[in-house]
Amino acid sequence: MDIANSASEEFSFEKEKAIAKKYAQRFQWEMILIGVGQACIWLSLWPLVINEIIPLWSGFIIATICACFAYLPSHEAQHGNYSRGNPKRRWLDSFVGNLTLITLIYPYEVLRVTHMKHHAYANDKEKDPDFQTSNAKSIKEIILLVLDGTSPDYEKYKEVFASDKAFQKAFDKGAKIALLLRFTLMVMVILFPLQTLLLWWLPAKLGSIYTTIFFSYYPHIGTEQGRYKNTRFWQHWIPRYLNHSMQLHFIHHLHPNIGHYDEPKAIEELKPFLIAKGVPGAEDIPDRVTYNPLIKF
Amino acid sequence: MEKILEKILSYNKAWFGLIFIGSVLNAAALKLGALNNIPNISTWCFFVGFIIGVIAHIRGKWLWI
Repeated sequence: MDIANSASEEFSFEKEKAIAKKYAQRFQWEMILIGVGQACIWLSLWPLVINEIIPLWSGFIIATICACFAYLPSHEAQHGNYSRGNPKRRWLDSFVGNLTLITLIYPYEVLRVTHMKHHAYANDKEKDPDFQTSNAKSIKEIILLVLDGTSPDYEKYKEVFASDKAFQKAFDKGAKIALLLRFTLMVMVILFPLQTLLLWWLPAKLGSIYTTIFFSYYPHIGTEQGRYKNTRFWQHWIPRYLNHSMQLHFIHHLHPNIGHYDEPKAIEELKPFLIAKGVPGAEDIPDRVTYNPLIKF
Repeated sequence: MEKILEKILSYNKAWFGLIFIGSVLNAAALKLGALNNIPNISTWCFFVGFIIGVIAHIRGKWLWI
């Protein structure tokens, strides 16, 4: 057996998968708490602001924070990380996924199916629904794309995956929820115009900008297509606790069933595999990731 | 019925301009006492919102990007 073969055997996909599986078992209660919690806080802002118990400006700040926390719990649901393959718990994925996204005014089913395509075709110009934002030239471009509401262009991907019946079915289901959300937004703006602007629409936009920058843009800068090449390890001046640890997003692309809060430990154990497989930036991963803010100026 | 709904929804930017932007402009104008003297201020606010929406509908996007 030559050196190359023994190295490839040492870092085989089977071994990598076995390690990853250890971290893909735990019930993701923290994420459910964040998803349901932020939705409840956001909903409670409405009576508090309308009855002038708290001022609108403070409601706006709290709503924006809620919006920044809204996507990740849905993201775990999109991967079935609450039900973990148990059909009796599948309602939990749907419940958390839908509820938490109300703050962001996004339909869960549309995000779920397009996100699955993002995983399958990451960095593919034609088939990756996140391509426009993950390959944007600058943060300014992302801000403008999100504010304009043209990113991502979901209708385009409905046509791209026209032959995928499961995709179409889920997309149509999500489109009805999108319509309901839009209708609710319009009713609310007639009844409570400034509150709807500052408790819902603007926080949703700001939350979407935050999410797109840290979930889509930074993790994919300069990356290519391919399982080990489409997402990178990166560092930033912002501590990872403020950007949902998206410096570690590459491990999610490799093993989406690892729970978000179990990713640091999984990375520590998988680091030799990640270096051997050539994950961009893997050589810079510190030996201890847990509790490490990963700050770099 | 479905076709009528589709037709209405195809003008979503114009509706958004009229209802959402119009309502917000109207509420903001009422808050600003200085604008209260303008006759038919509410009509103007909804009209401006609608025009913004129609322009966005024609251009296919809201911003100049």
